[in-house]
Amino acid sequence: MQFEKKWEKITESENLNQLLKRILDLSQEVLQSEAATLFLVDHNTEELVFKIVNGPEAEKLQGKRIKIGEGIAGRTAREGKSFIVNKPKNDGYSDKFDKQTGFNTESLLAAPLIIDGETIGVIEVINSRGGDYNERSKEIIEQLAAQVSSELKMTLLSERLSKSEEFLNSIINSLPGGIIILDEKGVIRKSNPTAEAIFHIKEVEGKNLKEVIPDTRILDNIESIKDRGSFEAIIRKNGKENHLIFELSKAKEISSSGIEKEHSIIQINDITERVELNRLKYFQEINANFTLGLSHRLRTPLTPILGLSSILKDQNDLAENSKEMAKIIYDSSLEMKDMVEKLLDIAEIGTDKTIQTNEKIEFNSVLNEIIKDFDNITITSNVENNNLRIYGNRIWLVKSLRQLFTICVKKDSKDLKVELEENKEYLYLNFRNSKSLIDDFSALENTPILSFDNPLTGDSDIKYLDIPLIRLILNKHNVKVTIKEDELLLSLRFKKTES
Amino acid sequence: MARVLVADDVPSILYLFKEFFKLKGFEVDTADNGFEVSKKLGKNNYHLVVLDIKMGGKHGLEVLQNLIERGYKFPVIICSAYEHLKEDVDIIAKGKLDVEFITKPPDLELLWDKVVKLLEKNAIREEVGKDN
Repeated sequence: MQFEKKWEKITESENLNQLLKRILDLSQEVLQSEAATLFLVDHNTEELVFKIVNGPEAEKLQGKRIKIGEGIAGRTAREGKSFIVNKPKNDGYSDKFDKQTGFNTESLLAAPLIIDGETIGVIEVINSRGGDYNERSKEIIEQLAAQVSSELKMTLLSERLSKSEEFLNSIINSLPGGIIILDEKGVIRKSNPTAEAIFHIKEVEGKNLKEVIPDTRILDNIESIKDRGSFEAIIRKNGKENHLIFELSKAKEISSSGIEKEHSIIQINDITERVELNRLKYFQEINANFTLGLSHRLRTPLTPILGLSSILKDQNDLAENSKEMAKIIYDSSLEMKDMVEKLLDIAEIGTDKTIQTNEKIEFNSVLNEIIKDFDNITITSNVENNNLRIYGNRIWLVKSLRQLFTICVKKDSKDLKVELEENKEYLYLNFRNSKSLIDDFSALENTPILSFDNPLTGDSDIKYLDIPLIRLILNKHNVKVTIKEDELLLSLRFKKTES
Repeated sequence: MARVLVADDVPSILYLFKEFFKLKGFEVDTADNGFEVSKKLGKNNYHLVVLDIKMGGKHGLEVLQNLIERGYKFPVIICSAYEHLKEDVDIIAKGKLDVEFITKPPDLELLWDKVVKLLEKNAIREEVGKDN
């Protein structure tokens, strides 16, 4: 009874090493022995390791190893059965360690530690002070060994479990969506940082879900779904709407005592960005389709205006002032035609019909194609590599750069300098001294694409149609536009690709 | 005198083409829908047809298809606001009929270039046909 009471105490200890030490102390005490050793099997080397050693020469032996099969402890491990040795020198005892330590082994009792049929260690007591070890001593040590094995098994299992729990926690914490796990009573067992951020909550474990989510509609939905299912909900945070999808599922947990518990798992995914993007895409599409339709519809009335004025302006039998009027109508309708073409471009970019391709483009060939139309532009270049490539849609890139050059030449061709520079990652196309181009870009920094008015004067001004279009195309090509007004520099940065 | 049939459902566009071709010395016939085009083609000979695509009655592409099926060989100019339909026109007419596509509003000089090109090509074909 005394022994069983002591055993209870031992099982209370949490740390494995402490537990093993206490068992060994108990064995030594109960079996009135001078020394005791607990060996654990190292399966990698087929050896027994002196894990815990009690006795006069304990320090010298700690951590030493013997082969399985060697000496009494080795035989105990190999054969998986207990040994009583009261005359060691006659019984195959190895005195290797006695010689090393100066200890004198007179009697010895060893029992294997077995888990699920596999020997994982040996417990051994040495030099009985109460006469020889006998069958009763063997029974006690075997009982102790069985309990040790069972405790070791539990400890190992619980270590494995705690590692699994750590792993599970790290998975839950790394999930992009929010997770809240509830027990059967609706008490929060676990939550992850994403869920805590969505609901502005902290340290919620142990709290009831109702304390954490005050929104009764969400709670009602969770309540009504019960087992499995999902629903969408909107919560307001800092005056902003957040669209959330709640998905409910169940998971079973079987406790060590075999009782089955069911947990509710609530996954919360914030789809606000997706909803907003869809909404934006929807409006963009409406806008683009409207613009596309408008462009086509404008072409019909423009056809007779442009055509008839074109005929009239060249009619020889018409009075001079009438021909002049026809010429004005013709020129104006040409301008209008140009606008209609650009509207079409804008609409097509809006619907993403045109810039979907992302091909490798040889930048030099694009530049050469453009500048051959502009006699008065020379490009200075620090670019050594002739095979510079970027990603994008060639047709649109040529279109936007050609327009940029056209605007520059129209306005600032005298002092304009175009430079091509490169570093490891980027390619820069710099327009220097093109004051009005830089003014146009600066003025339209945050202007929506379809603005035809000069934002500074409020006057209707066609030139402003070009810049947003160019900006939009460049933006679609991930080209960064930098404006330095004090240096009069407009710089376009293109990302280079690996050749 | 060369004869042209112009088809469009917008009267002002029809008027433009009528005046344009008259000035260029053509005898001009007009149709304001697809059915009328078919009807007029059955009764008259033309050197050239100018077709809109989106018009009442019969769609311009359907009219084009009918021309090919009925074995007409005169050249056709398609004048449409919808540039993307050029591909459909090319698919229908390739190797069967001489067709040029021009986007609305047309540059009249460009239109005339196309007319001349088509008629010259057709005249050569007719000459070759006579010799044989």
